[in-house]
Amino acid sequence: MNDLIPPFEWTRVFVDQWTGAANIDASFWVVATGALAAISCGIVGCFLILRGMAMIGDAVSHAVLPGIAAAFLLSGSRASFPMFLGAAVVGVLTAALIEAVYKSSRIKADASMGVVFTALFAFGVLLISLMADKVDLDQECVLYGEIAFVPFEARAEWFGWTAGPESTMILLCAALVVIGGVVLFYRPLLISSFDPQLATSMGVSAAVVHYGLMTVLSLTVVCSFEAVGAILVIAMLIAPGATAYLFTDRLSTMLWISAGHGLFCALAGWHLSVWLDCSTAGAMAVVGAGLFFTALVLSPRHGLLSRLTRRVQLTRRVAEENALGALYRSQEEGREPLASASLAERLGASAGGAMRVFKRLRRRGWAVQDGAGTLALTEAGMGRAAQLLRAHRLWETLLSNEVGLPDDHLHSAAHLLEHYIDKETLEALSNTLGNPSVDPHGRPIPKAD
Amino acid sequence: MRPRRLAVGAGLWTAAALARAERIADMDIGGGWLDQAYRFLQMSDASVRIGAVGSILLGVLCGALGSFIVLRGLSLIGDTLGHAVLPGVAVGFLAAGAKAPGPIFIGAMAAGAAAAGCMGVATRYSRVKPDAAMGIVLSGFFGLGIVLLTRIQKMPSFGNQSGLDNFLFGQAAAMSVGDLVWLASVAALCLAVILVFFKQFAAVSFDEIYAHSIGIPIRLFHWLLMCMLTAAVVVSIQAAGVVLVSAMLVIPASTAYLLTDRLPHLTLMSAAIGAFSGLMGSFISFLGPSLPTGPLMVLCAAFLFALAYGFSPRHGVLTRMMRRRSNRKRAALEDALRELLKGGAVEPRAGAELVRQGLAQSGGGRNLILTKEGHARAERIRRNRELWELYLTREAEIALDHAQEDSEEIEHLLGTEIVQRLEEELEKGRAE
Repeated sequence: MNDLIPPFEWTRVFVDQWTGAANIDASFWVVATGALAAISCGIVGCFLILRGMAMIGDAVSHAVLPGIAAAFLLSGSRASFPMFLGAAVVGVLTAALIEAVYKSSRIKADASMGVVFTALFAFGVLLISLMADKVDLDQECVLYGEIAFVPFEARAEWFGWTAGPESTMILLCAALVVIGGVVLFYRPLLISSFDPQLATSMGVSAAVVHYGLMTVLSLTVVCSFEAVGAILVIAMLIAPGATAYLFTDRLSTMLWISAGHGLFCALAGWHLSVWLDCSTAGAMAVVGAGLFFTALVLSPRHGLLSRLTRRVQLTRRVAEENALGALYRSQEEGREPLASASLAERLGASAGGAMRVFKRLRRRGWAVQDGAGTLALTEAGMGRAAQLLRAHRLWETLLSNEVGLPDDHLHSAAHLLEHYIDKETLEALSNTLGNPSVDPHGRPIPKAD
Repeated sequence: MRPRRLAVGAGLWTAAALARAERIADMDIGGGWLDQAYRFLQMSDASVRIGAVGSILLGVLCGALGSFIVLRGLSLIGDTLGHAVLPGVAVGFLAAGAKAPGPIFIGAMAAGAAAAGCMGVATRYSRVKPDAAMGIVLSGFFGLGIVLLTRIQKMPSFGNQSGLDNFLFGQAAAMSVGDLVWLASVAALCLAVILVFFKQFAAVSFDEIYAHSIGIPIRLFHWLLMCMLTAAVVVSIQAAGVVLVSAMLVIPASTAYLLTDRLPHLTLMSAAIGAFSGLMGSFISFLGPSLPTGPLMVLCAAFLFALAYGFSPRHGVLTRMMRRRSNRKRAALEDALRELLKGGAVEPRAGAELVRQGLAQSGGGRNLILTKEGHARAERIRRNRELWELYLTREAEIALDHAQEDSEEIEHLLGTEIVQRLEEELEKGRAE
């Protein structure tokens, strides 16, 4: 149990992997293979996510297995043309079959997907275990690939020039095809992903785009099979695009971010797997999902943290404004300055909560507290409070004149609304109401500053 | 009462299998497939019995639960949970130091709950759509599980633990008595919950808003279903494997969905189909070496699905096609009859069919004349058509030229009963 997580040694995990020609060679090809797989899958995945078809990626990545197995059985090699053809055909067929089943029967789309791809996957697993003694394609390879063995593969010979390992070169071609396809067909893809109806009216055939995408999807899945296995491909398909989707609304930015995500996953996943001495593809998938959830928390616009901050800020502002309002009213009525305890009571806050609000008011220079614990507004505080009261009383006027609320219902409604109006809208409201100077209760409405 | 009897029967069989399991030595695999088939049918080997009973229980459990998720459009939840429990399985394995079902079950339940939670957070608090959230949770958790499993295999204290692969693809023959006990208890518990709360589950599955309005706590039942799903996935892993559990949740239920429109029938049929597929899967996998149970089970279920997809009496694609074709044929025949009544000519093919059915006979040359029977039938059709036109123009206020156009199509579809009612209605209208 104790040796589950080996001690983290910086030198072993990071430095050693990039020193010495042999180590550099191994690290480079593993990271390059992972990055190429993640980038090409990630780009395809962006379109899947935008079209709400993320699980099609899951389905196709499972379903190409019998194609791979059959082609493997026929050709006996792992990186061959028949294999790509077999798997790509099965991939496109899967997409077509899923569509056919749910369009021609009462089976819903998700169930149709579930039936088709699991059945094909089962068939693939059966094929592989039947021919386990004939060919070297084992079940682990199906699940999580053998990316760590990529550097030991035979190097591809291209026109007498020795390039990288074969599966890396195949992935390089796949990445080029994907990137080239996106560059060439950027506009039709963009339009049909965001507005299918507009695309149809502009003469972009939905079926062509759909099946084109499915073909490219199957190809990338097959090419990445070597690196990450049939199942973990789904991590590379969805995590980059979904992470990017948390940061941006623009397709081009989304594609760039997802490519960066893929590169980072490959690099970090490799070092994670060196540290833990575990499956490299699994580590890459974990990093990918980890990045997504980190982005979910930290993303500036859509992240949980920024949302939480905004909510806390709003709550604080409302509390401060309520305190300002209460102080203003008490001074307006010419009563004794309020003691902090009675103000807390008025605000319906706990003593501690009220103390924090007063502290913030003092720090902003809106209120002062004398030795006896009574609070008074400063000049700046009065100005600020007057604007708040202006909003409050204008709302009351509006609710009374236009909505016809009875007088005793006005305060609570206006009390909520007063915090949510900006200056311009407030002046527009005042103009609409004919710039009144007293509210329905007969109290003066402060002037705009 | 039928499902209750089914559950009792399954329980008894399990108990019997367990009682005999101790006495019989481990079987060896060898001999031809016929011998193997005979051995399977004898049920004298403990591992055969455990495998078969386990597969059947698995089929029943997954089938019954699957009917609810398929109905609710949550089919891929099973897939996600099936992949996502893997890290829990690994941690449970690690904690127990061996393949003990208890710790693995607890670990996997925790992982399933964590996955469901992550999915909820990602869908609720971000703009990512549910299917993308599912994909991320599925792959992230599965990746973590793979990391843990590969790590465990390299740890000196667990060196060379075989049997972990069975988690991934499933081998019913590798099930132990302990695994079976867990499977049977979870199945019994889940089926009992389904029986007791069947009405509530039915209402929630069909119409959440209605269910809510009659005071059913829909969130509670949703989570109850999710818990049962996770439990089912965990105990099924041993026999079907992580990847293929989801298939057993979706395929039998989809097959039943093609066969029936009633939920109690759906659940029962789905359980029965699951049980049959499980039995067949474990039978075929016993016939030879290197035949994994999980995939075979799934393929059996998929075969049944394909049959239902084509030939289901009401919803089958081929059945519907044949029904449409016979409708078209009848329409063509009736059109031809009407033409003949008017004294017109008919196409040779339609004419030949009329003659074959004894509705017309050759009147010399290429002319056809109606027989007595044909005449009566043609008159009836003409009257139907007139009635229909009358109805359309009077009641539905459709212009006459449109009415004729429509009635061409529709007159063939009216049954005698409807025609009678239509007649009565029209007579009444005329009298007034």
